[in-house]
Amino acid sequence: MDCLSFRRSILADPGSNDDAIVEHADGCKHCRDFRADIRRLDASIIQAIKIPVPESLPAKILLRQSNRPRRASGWRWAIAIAACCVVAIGIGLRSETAESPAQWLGAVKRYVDRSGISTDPAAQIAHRDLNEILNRIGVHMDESIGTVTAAIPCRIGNRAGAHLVITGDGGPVTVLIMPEADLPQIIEFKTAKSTGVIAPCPRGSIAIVGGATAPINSIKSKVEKAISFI
Amino acid sequence: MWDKKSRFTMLVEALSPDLYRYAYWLVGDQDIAEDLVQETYMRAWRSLDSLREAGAAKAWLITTLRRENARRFSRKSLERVDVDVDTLEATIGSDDKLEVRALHQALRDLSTDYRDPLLLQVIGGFNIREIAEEMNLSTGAVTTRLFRARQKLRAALDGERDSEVSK
Ligand SMILES: [Zn+2]
Repeated sequence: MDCLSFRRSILADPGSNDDAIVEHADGCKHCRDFRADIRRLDASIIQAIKIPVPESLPAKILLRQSNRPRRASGWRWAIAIAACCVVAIGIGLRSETAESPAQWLGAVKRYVDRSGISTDPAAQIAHRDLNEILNRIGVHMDESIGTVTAAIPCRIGNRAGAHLVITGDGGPVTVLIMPEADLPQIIEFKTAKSTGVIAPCPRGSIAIVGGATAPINSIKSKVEKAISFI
Repeated sequence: MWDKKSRFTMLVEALSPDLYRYAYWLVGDQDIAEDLVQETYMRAWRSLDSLREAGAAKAWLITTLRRENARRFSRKSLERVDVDVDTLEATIGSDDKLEVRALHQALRDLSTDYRDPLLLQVIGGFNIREIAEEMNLSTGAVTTRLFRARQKLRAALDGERDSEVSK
C-alpha cells in the first residue's frame, strides 16, 4: 500500500484495522500523523452531530405505543430495564441538569411544551403498574389517586421522574413527579398552551399542568393526599 | 426471557437519541425528525419479532427510518429540506467550540450524497459494505463518497481555523 491509497482508505474509514493499513502505518510516520489527524476530525464530527435530543422523546414513543388499542401489561420488566437505561440515555444528552428553582421551572416548561402528549381517555393504568413505575423513583401512590390514563418514566431537568396523566372534569391533566426537584416554594406558571403549578413535596416536587380550564388545584390536592415516599 | 414490551422499552431508551440525531441530519427539521422517529418505533413494534440480535437493533431501526422517510417523500413529494441551522443554533450551547459550529455548517453544506453515507457510518455504525447495500451503491462508490465527505469537512475546518488566525 502506498501513501496515497493509505490516506484514501483512512479518509473513508478512519477506524480501519486492515492488515495493509496497520502495516503501512507502522512504517510511515507521515501517514501515522495523518491518521491521528483524521481520527481527531472524526471525534469533532461526532461532537457536531450530537445535537440536543428532546427530553420527552422516549416518553412520547412509549406513550404512543402503550396507547395503541390493544393493552399490554409487560411493565414490570420494562421498568426495570428503563431504569438500567437511564444512565445510558443520560450520557450524550446535552440538557442541563436542573438545580435552581428557575432551572427546574425551565425544565418543566420545556418538557411540557415538547411533550404534547395525548392519551386515550378510556385507557387505564392498573394501580399495581402505576406503582411499579413510581417505586423506581422512590414514590408510592395510594388508590385515592383514582383513574390514571398514562404513566411513563421520564427525565425532566436531566433527572429521573415520572409523567402521569389524570383525566379530571376539565380535561386531561399532566402530573410530573420529580423526586429530585428541591424547591423552596410553590411556583405558578403559564406556557403558550397551558397553565401549571410546581409544588414542593416532602421529597422533591410535583408539577401539575393542564389547559386553561383544567382543575389544576383539585388534582394537586388529590396527588398530595395520595403520594408517599419510600 | 424479556417480553416484547420490555425489549421495546429498552430499544427506545437506549437508541432513540441516536435515531433522532440521524433523522435530524437526514431531513434537516427537528419536528419532522421527531415524527419520523416515532413512526419508526411504531413500525418497529409491529415487526419486533423479526429482530433476532440486540446488537443489530440500531442498524435495523435506521434502515426502518430510512424506509419511513422514503414513504414520506412518496406520499407528499416534498422538497428535500435544507438542514435548518438557524433554529438549531438556538439549541446549541454558547460554550460550544467554534469548531463544532463550523462543522455544523459544513455538514449542512455537504450534499446528501456525501452526508448520507457519513451519517450511516458515524451514527449508525455501518461498515462500507453495509452502507453500499443500504444505498444500493458499489463499495467503491461508497468509499469515494466517504473520502470526499471527510475531505470537505476537513477543508471547511481548516478554513475556519485560518480565518480565526487572520482576525
Ligand atoms: Zn505513508
